[in-house]
Amino acid sequence: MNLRKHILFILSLSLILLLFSGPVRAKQKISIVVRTVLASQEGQFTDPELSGLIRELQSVFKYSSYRLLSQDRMNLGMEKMGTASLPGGRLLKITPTGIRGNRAELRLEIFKKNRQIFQTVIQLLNKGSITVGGPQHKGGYLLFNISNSF
Amino acid sequence: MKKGHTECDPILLGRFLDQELGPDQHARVEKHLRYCLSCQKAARNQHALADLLNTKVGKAVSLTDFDHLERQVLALVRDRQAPWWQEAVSLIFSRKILIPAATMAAVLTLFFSYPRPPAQISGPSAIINSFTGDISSVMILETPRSRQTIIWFDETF
Repeated sequence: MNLRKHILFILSLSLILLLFSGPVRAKQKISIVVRTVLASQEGQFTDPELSGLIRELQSVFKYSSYRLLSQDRMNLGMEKMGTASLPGGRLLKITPTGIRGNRAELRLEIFKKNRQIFQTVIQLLNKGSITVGGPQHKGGYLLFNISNSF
Repeated sequence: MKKGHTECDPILLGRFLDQELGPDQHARVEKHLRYCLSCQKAARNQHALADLLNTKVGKAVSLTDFDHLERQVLALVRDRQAPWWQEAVSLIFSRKILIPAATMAAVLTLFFSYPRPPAQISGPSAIINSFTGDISSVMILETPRSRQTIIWFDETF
């Protein structure tokens, strides 16, 4: 191959790289799981499905019982909002807004009886999770564990 | 050569003495030389000069050390040649290398500047960019072992 053919080959390769790498990212979907847990001091119980999470949370919380109340799965594209119904007339809205490196940017909103309690924007590590807790419920406290993968 | 059978011609005479003439011209000049005194004198002078040159040059050649002369010439050529680093620089900056190198650099820059997930990121599981709400208090915690992020809030109503 002569010099001109070499250059043409390299430029074509770079064009192909650009064409195939950009749109894949733009169409990427994020798989999200929301687990609602009731943590309390009533009895000694750990839901088997929560063993990994609870082992980690027990270094911070001193509850003796952790019960999985519900689990919601959603597969969301960018700027597509997903909702999960939470106990006590609460609603969790999740909207992925982008991917930055190995983290997904998510907007989380919690509503109670159509009133927004809070809104936060987080960057969640791929295959990582965040736990949001605090609301009182049936003698215990609600924990919402939100995990993602993309 | 005097005018008569043939005119005096120093160039023709020189060629005659150098044996460069054809048979006819040679015979004509030879005939002219038999009676032309000035051309005879010129021919003698040229013979004497040729003998002198042959003797002197022959002597000079026999005394010359051609091996030494060759070494001197080669040294002179080497001195006038560009140093190796200058040749290397000119090779690097030649179009044949510079154009593919620049193209490759552009492609690599394009490829590596595209954002890709790093192999491993250390840090909390979640980074809180912003938090607003109608709440009395909020705490952001992190578990010690795997750095799981926890948001703990108190509702006001």
